[in-house]
Amino acid sequence: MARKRVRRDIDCYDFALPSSSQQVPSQTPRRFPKTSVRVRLQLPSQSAAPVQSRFQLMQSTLASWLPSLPQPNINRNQSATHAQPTSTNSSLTPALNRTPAVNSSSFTRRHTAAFQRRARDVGPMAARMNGNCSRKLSSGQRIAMIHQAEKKRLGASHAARKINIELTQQRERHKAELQQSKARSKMFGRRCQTYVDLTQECNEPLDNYPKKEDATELVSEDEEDEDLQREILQRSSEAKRNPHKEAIFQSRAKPSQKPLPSQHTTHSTVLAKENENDQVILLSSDDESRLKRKPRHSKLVGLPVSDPAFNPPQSSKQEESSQEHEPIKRKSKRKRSRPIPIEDDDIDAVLESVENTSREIASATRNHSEDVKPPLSLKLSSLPALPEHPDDIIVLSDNEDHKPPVQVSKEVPRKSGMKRVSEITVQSFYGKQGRGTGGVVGSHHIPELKNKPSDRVVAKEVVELELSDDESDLEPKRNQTGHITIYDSDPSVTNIKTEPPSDIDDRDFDIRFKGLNGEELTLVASLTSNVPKQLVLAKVEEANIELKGEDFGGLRGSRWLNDEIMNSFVSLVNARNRDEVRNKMNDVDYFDHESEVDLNSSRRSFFSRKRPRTHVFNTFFFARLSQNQYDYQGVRRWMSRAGLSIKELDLILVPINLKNFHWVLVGIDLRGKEFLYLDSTFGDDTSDAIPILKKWLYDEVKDKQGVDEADRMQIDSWRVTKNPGYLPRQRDGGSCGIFTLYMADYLERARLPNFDQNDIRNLRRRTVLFLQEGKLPS
Amino acid sequence: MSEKAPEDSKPQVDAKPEPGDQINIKVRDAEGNEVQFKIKKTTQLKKLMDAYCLRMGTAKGAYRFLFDGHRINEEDTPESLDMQELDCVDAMVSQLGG
Repeated sequence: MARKRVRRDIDCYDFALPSSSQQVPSQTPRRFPKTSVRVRLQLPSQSAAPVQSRFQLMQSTLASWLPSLPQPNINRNQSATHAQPTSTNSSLTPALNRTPAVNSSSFTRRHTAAFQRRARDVGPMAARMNGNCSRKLSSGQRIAMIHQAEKKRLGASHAARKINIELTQQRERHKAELQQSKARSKMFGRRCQTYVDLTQECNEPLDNYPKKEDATELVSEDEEDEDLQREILQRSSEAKRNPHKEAIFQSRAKPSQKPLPSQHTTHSTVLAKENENDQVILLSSDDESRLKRKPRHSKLVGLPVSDPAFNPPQSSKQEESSQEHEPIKRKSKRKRSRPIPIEDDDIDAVLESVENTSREIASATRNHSEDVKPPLSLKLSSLPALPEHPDDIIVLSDNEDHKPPVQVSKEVPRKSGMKRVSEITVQSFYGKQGRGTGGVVGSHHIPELKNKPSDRVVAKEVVELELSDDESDLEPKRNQTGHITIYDSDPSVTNIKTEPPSDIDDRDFDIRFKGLNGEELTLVASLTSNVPKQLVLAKVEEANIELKGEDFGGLRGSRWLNDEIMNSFVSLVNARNRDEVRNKMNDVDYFDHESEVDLNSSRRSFFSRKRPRTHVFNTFFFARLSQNQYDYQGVRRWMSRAGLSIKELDLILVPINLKNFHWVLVGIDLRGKEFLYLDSTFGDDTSDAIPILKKWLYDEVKDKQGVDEADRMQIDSWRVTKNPGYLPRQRDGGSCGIFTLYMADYLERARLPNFDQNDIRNLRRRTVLFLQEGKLPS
Repeated sequence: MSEKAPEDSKPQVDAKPEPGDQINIKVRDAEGNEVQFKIKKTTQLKKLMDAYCLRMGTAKGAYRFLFDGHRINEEDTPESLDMQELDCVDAMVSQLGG
């Protein structure tokens, strides 16, 4: 039984170079575009020879045909992975990953040399990457695991169906070829060549691309991403016109990975500078490679767009390599025209694909030998398969009743690997209705925005903008931009801005409410969208916190904020207060708590006083104080360690995490003798924060100033204000952290909060920039 | 779990330093469990944090280590943070809220 199954399986082998296609074999061509050379051989199933020797025969034959290829790792293309008898499987596995000794040493030598040459060419980055990758490659186990996981994720039935289709297709083709050629070795040679060609294609031309369906398949599920991308598109089309057109397009298509070389290099270098991480190196070297390719690419853009097989990066390579690729390429494209919806909500996938990418680069570099020429361009050709030409978008949009692929979007895919990012983002220009976060629409200070067009309309307008791009008819379109843009990015507003602000409270002059320009948007996108979880993106010195991809990810859409973001922001508030208030003003500037309160107690509201000397605790303060039970000793030294004392403060702010699902802020107004409980959802104080903090304040004063002082303050009798009228109300499901942070920000500046739910999206983006910069605006 | 190995769970195996060079530092988790470490004053606290994560069976970086409310850097040493004998480091878990 087992033997038979094995035999059946073994009829067809995948000889795959170490690359993404190896881990994620045939089922997911869309998600992981094939970039490697994959050779599939079929032995006639006379199969008298034992399994092992047939296998080795094939392997050595393959080796002799393809002397320039690196040591092949071999995947069996099987429809019954799970059912494999472990014994045979394990007996094969070592052989699969390590070629038999016959060729391997010469292989290794040759291709180590080739790699070294290549590494010299490509530069140290690629070399490092390669080192990193080859280590990972050596583990066949890991590959198998990924393989399995992928399969599980895709769902067994789907995978099986896909495999079946592919298998039958392949087999038919093989059979036909078998019949044609008699001489077996010859046949092998030719077929080998064939498959090299076949699999080297990895992009699909737009014309073959089933636009509507695919768009929905690929669209990111995150509304924020949509908006972000759309705005980036919009801004960049405003700002940068024709000269770098296709480059812009690429940068839009994949903002997080391939910023525009000329204008957008900033954040890519930021990324690269701030981390010595592997992934970063990868990213930047990806850029680098792209830049290197740039001239050739742009030259090729001049080719006829109508050619369905046209694909700049790829054809740039193929032109040089050979011509006979073309027909075969198209054939297999047709085959792959059905995309697979991928359900994946984990950045792990990104990580995975980063590894894949690095593998590809590695394999490409290793792959290099003088005559064959696949090195980095292999990687390049795996890049966005989608519209390489803005014209394509236009085609979509100027059709009046073309419906953007909105409707189908329910069933669909989530963000996934990095490679897909590009596709997602490009597709997002077609427009899509995001989910969740109702009520974010509109803006209260730009009246006409009350009728904010639906997402679809916005998308259409953006596309029209694209059109205008081509017609170089900009003026009237700019107005449209004004409509689309939500916040103060209207050009007229910018012009007014040259005047010094007369009233600071005016939102027009507050950078918090200023819409982001294209560059900033791109930066935000690159920091928040599909960044590897553990990738360190910024270090907030004040808080000693390294902000990683997962932290910044929380600032997207209406996602939840984690403690790292909260504490980073809090530390910036503290730093600002220290610089602008505590260190600047003499104590003389401030009344004694007592006297001021005695004089004015109830009449003077918090916001009419001087800017308070403020300390904002980090989010762990309350957790430490109250997590198990009330434990003053646990936080006894927190104030003194921060160099503060109650005596010298006017306001203490305590951000509190409620049961790991909500953020609220408690303010202790030491001058007004008042406790503020600020919950953006206007919830009640369910965690007894106020009583606990009252007790803490008493203990703190008692510990530092003596029990007499503590008693004299009569903390118990202080007013408690819950959810005062000026508190903005949260209307989405995940922005309480933002509300909390900005309430702290406003209270520290003694400003009445003038933001509301409509500003949250902008505030989120601004927060990314503030944190990245490590400074809050005053 | 807390009192399982309160004493010297991670003694330094390197060259014997004088007693003055070493201090005992407690690491306290959210539930109040404490683990005590003996560490050289000049040893980077990365070692302590990693050892604690290892002991708790979690990935490195699963905890946010705070000393008197200040986030501890990996490069910090007991000396640089002015830690005293039996000072307590808080191992806090991440928080999330929306």
